[in-house]
Amino acid sequence: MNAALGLEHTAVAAYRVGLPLLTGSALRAARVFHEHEREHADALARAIRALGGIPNRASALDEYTRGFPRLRARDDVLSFALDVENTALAAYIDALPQLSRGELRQRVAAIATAEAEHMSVLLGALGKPQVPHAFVTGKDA
Amino acid sequence: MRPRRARHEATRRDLLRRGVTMGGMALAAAAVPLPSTRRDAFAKPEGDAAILERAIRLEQSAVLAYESALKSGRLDERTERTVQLFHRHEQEHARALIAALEEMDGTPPEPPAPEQVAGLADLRTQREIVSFALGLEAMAVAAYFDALSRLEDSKLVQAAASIMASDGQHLVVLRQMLGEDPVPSAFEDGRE
Repeated sequence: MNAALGLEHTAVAAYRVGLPLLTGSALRAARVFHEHEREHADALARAIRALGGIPNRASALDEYTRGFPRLRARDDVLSFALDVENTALAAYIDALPQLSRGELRQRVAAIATAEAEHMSVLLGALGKPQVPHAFVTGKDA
Repeated sequence: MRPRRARHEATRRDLLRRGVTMGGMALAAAAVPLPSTRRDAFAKPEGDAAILERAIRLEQSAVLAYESALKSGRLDERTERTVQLFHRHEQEHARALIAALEEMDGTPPEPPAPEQVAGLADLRTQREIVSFALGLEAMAVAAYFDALSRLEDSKLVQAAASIMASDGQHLVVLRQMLGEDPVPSAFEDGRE
């Protein structure tokens, strides 16, 4: 769960860094998705605490940005966000069978589906097919 | 969160190579209920096979609904292309679920007749058709969400989640067609 939380922290950082490069509908969508990723991180942190664990805290922003690709324009941001969402989705699909508590499994599936929905909007903004596959596993953006 | 990633990765690759992907959901009625009844659509079936049977019934109904939309003559070109794509996806979901059930020695249900899909015959405009599809897709997402707490087989759990995510993407496109917020919640459980 802490690995998933780390991915959510990364997604929050990616949107935060990308927002200044966006305008119009892409900016509006990214603002919403940024907030969603924060909600995901909060939910995962609560779940980790409920399981008796200690949730990892987010690192400083520049620690994330050092590992990010150079983002110069709108499409760089959207493509990178798509990548991050895709990675998170794949991690959730991988992790689901390891979660024995039904409620937690549902929570994670609801987060994964929201990430898939983010991907669909990002794909559309990039002029790509919004629903490229019948089975969304996070292996293809 | 991914300590056993390699094993699950191999499992999923195997499944996809064989064209077998599985999912599960819980839907109470034999006939497909109206989308507005989705909150009441869940039974508590015992075991993965029962969940699969209900999932197949719902996917078959979605196939039928999209087929009916394509025959209606009421869709503009762009909407028709989208409906064709979603029709194909639902067929793929149904085929995969049937294959999974048959692997468990189960017998897949017969596809429903149009009159068994409540509300389908009443659709008059493109907007009504898209709204109806949105309801069906949301019901499917809700049903997979429900099923995920009870499925036991690891492969079925992953497959159900991958179909749920696909149906979530359908929801995005249908909401956009209707001018709605494409992602209204950070947690998609089909109940928004």
